[in-house]
Amino acid sequence: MIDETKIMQYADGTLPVEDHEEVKKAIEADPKLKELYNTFKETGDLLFKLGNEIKSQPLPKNLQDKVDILKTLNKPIVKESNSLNFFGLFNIQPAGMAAAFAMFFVGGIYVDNFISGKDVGKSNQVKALSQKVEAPKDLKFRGMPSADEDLSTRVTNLYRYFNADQFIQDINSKLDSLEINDEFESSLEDNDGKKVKFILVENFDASGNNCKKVAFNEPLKLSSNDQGSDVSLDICKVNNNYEITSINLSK
Amino acid sequence: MTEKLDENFIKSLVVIALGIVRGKSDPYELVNGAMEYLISNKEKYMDHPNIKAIAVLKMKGLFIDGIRKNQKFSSMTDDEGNDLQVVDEKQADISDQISLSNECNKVLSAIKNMGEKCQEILMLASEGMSMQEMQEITEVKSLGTVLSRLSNCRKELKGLVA
Repeated sequence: MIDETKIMQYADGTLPVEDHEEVKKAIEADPKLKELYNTFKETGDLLFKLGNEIKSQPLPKNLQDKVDILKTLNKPIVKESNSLNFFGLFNIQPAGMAAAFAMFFVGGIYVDNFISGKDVGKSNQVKALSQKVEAPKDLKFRGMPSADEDLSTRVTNLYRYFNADQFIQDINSKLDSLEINDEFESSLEDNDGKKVKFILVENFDASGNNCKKVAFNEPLKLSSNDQGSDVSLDICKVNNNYEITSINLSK
Repeated sequence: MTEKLDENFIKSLVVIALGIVRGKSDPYELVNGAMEYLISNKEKYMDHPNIKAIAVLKMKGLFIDGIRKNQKFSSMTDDEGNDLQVVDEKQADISDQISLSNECNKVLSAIKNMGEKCQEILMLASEGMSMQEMQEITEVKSLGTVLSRLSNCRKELKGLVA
């Protein structure tokens, strides 16, 4: 006898795949189960529509004010904790995430129209250039004028130059078709014009979300003092689109 | 799942609030109270793995507080000492504040006429929550109970909107 909650899950598309065949056959064989299946399909659709319609309503003024407050709370949150997972990125703006991401590229990267090189003048500041240049050999990490500069400041300096949307767009179209250990490129290039490569390390589930761990194919030098860090990204599918949920660093 | 705190987060709380208030108070006020709580305790909760559950539990607490408060002031007795239930005519109904399609209005009205547990779980389901999230918010011990409750409530809903 099939549990009717399985029929409901099947109708909702949440039943584990291994149970599909059994439930499908039971529904086909029993008109009562077929009716039950239709009931769950119908109520599922009704509840989905109801939720969407309520959410499509404009918020009253007092709640709209809260939205504005939340925007200020969602500024990038940067944490550095003994070179382990240092971002809780679900709650921060993509640009903040992108900024941290941009920090990983050794010797500079070329993203959209931004290329930076070390100012050869008196200062140590990074300059945005209009065309690609060869990075000086002693430039290990752009936007990091001094080793003792805190991470948050470095992120703030960098994130306006990084196109997070482009990066997400690049990987969204590729991730689903990849197997473990497959190597892939995004449109990101290092300062030598070499495409930055990534490897799909792991598929995993996080609170029901389809997630993937993606690693850079070689250790990255994150600061002039860094001997090389392994960097990986956790990317989870949220509302049919992948989003970076955390960036992990390890020595 | 960690929620992104934005307008959609607040709107999802409105849907859930509808399942909590059961037409007895203004769901927007409940959401507003929960958001004020989260914002004033942001250091404590901003990194919480399930901040929506925190918000929903706060809304439930606020609703119960409101009921108690109302009972304190609205309970009266007649000449013979019998309790009189005083209906607060000013109570808000979200139906007056939003415009839903006829179909959704019918569904929402049907849900309002169902039991407390069904109202709650059906609105959680309409918000798109997973079974695990529903279990956490409804504080039901087993996932099986959540599944069977939702299943029964959906069958009842089907009977009401048919």
